[in-house]
Amino acid sequence: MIGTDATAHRTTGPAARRGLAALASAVVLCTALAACNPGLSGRELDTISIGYQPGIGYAPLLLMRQERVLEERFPDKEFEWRELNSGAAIRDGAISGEIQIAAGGIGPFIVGYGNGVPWKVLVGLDDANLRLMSMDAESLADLKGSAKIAMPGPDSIQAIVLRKAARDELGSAGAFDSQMVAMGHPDGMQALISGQMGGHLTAPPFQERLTKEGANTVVQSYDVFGEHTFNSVYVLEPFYGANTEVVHAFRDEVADSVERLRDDPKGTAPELAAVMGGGVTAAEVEEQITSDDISYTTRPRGFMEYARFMQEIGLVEEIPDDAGEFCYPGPHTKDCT
Amino acid sequence: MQQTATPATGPPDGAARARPRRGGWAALPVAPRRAALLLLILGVWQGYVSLSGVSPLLVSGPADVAAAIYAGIADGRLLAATAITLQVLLSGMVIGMALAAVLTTLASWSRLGDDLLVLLTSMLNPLPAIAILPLAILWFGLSTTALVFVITNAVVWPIAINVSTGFRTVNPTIMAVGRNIGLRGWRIVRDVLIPAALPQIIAGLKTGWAFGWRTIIAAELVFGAAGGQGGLGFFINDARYFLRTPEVFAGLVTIALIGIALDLVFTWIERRTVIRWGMKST
Amino acid sequence: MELRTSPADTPAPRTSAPLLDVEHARVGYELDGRLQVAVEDVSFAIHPGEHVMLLGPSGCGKSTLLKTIAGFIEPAGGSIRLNGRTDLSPGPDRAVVFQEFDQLFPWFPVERNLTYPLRVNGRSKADAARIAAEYLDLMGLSHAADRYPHQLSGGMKQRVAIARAMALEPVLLLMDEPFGALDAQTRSRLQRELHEVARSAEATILFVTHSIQEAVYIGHRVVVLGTPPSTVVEILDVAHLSDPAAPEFTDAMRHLRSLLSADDSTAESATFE
Repeated sequence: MIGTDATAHRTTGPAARRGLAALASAVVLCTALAACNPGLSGRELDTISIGYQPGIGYAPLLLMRQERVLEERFPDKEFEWRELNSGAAIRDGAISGEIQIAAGGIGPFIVGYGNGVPWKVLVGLDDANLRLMSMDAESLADLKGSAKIAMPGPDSIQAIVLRKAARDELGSAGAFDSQMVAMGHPDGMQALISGQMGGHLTAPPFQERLTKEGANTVVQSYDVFGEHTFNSVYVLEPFYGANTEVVHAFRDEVADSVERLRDDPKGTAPELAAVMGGGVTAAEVEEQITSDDISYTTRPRGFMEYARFMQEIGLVEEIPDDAGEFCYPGPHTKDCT
Repeated sequence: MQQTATPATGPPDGAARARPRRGGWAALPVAPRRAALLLLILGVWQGYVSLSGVSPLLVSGPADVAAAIYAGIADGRLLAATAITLQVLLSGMVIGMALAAVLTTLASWSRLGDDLLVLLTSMLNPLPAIAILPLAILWFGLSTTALVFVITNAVVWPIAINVSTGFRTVNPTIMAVGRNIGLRGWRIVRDVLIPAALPQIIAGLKTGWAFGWRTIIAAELVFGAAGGQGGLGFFINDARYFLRTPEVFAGLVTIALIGIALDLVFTWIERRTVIRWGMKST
Repeated sequence: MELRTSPADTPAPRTSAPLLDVEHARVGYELDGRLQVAVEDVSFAIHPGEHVMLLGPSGCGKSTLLKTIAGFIEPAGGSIRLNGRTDLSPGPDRAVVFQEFDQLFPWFPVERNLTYPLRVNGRSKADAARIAAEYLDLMGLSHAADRYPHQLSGGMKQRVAIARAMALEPVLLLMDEPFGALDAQTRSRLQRELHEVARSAEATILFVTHSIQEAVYIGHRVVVLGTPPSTVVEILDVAHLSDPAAPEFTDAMRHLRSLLSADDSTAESATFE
């Protein structure tokens, strides 16, 4: 660059030089924004970012983070664990190449997939029954009106559950669109307890805590969509192709953690408590991870159910014909549905 | 000699001050110059999107954005969002203007009112209005009231400051003339004080609208609600959640266009009033 | 000596009752909450049709006295009567022409600057338009009726201000150095015009000036004030003097100049005659 500039100085006038400088800065800007980001380049990377959200829905990843299993297997590589607040934020990170391994709910994944984000499911983390909690409403019809309903985002799995329930019970998928408010789980829980929200569509362990506060369940996702995956791990195709070894190792470690969470909750709880922080005790964590509403499993299921409904109500245009296209081949994704 | 020595106190025609004229670009009139530049920017933008291979999820080209704006107008979503935003802004503006009127009236009536206005403006004006959104949500919940409250706070101080400065700096001779020709009370306020302070009043309203406009967009973005009753901030947020990047750009373009339109409205008002009357130079 | 002088208290050589009667007036203005006395003791009278000039060194309180008569300031002592009335809140019966060019309403064209005050004072639309046209014509402003004040020169602005004040047909026209900020040429032209117009309109005028020439040229009588806190030094009759080239005119000017230059000893000036 400096060389070009010097040449220009010798051969051209100041106006042309200014033009060149503008062009050069434009090129720099383009390079920064374009597909040249290493995270999207399809090269083998030394630093790998993993994006996930708060909550025990990500317990297998928390365990891996705490035990540093990846760092032990790949001493030459660096792993960055980034806790973000919404599936959309993680997806934006993946699109811009800041995050290579993304963990999140079905909603943001399908929205990304349908809009051409080249990613697929690597492995599932858990199934969960997601509940719409309310302090006073007994049914969806009670919530209709001006009461606000909190959930992580309008594209979140919770939002899709609410729309399907609204269509099934009230005949209109958009019945609550104007009442939906995007909020992280902790804020939503506070808002429901303080009476600012009429409802909160959440996840374990927040729904258990709300039950203890006297809230009741208005809708549960298993009734709406059948049993389904809550969170999974998604990886961009170029990254998968160029970093297969790390990706497979990551998948195997997830499977290992999932198995331990399921078979030995007592043994894993203290480690989870340590990584979660905030004064939570091992006993509390154990209670959370053994809740009936969450079960740790690597098999992705329910994706097509969600995708078809989302297509039906116009949230996405493109969906695959077969759930197999959602998933990378592998030992845990054989029966991807 | 005599002509070039025209003192600066002469009429501000600028006729004596010869503008350095250059050939080519600078010789063109303003409108084609701006149009050409706009076309160039659009061309570079489209060229970059078409040629660089940047993901359409990150940057949309002008053609896609135009299509998104057209679609948004056709299905009414963009218009509805704009209408909601403008409606909230208008409510905040009206309340803000009324409050500013009360405060400046108190300030010109009594020493206590003046002290109160000075204290309040010096405390609250430097505070970006968006910073009180969390408090507004706490007080009013996630409702339009919270938004209106924040907008009111954004607009009332710049208006109050400008209007009270305008009132305080009105030429005393013109007020004396008003009393001399027999005007009293409300009539002297309406017919002399307000027109005489109009340059500052318009400046205050202009700043108020600009502050309000920025604040409402920021507030709607932070508000983070979804669904059908949202304004432009919601429109952008929603488009982002569902990866409709051209719509994100469409929302931004709409915001910019309305900002420009608001500015043009005030410029038009100024042209027809204070500039025409020689109370403000162009 | 041809000069006829008369003490302040003696009635003017007229048969009618005075229009304005100023008796031992004491006037001043508030500064930092304290009264600054500008005029200690002044007495004079104005009869209908008279042009009385207030002349004095700068700071002698002549403008303050005029503003007191206009009703903007309460007198601190003595009495000021207008047709026997002492309640003098500002009003169009004492229309004022100020020195400042920006005394016109900038948001009105010239014509509306005249009609608006007339409308405020109860004239019908048609009446106001007719009167405004008349006075615009009188001041040679008909061609500028549609212009905004900022498009006028200083001299034109003062003409409009005079036309506006005269259109109100005040019982007493108050002029506060209206030509003070004009260049010499414009100033003498406006003096001439006012001289003509005021005589033909039979207006009663109280005119503040610090120009001796102006005082002699426009005035019937000149009330000379001393240094503040001022008193009346002398009241000089100049009614018959209207030709600046006449020797009497020059004599009157010389006399006034000597009064003013003997400024810090008012006692001495008073005994001068």
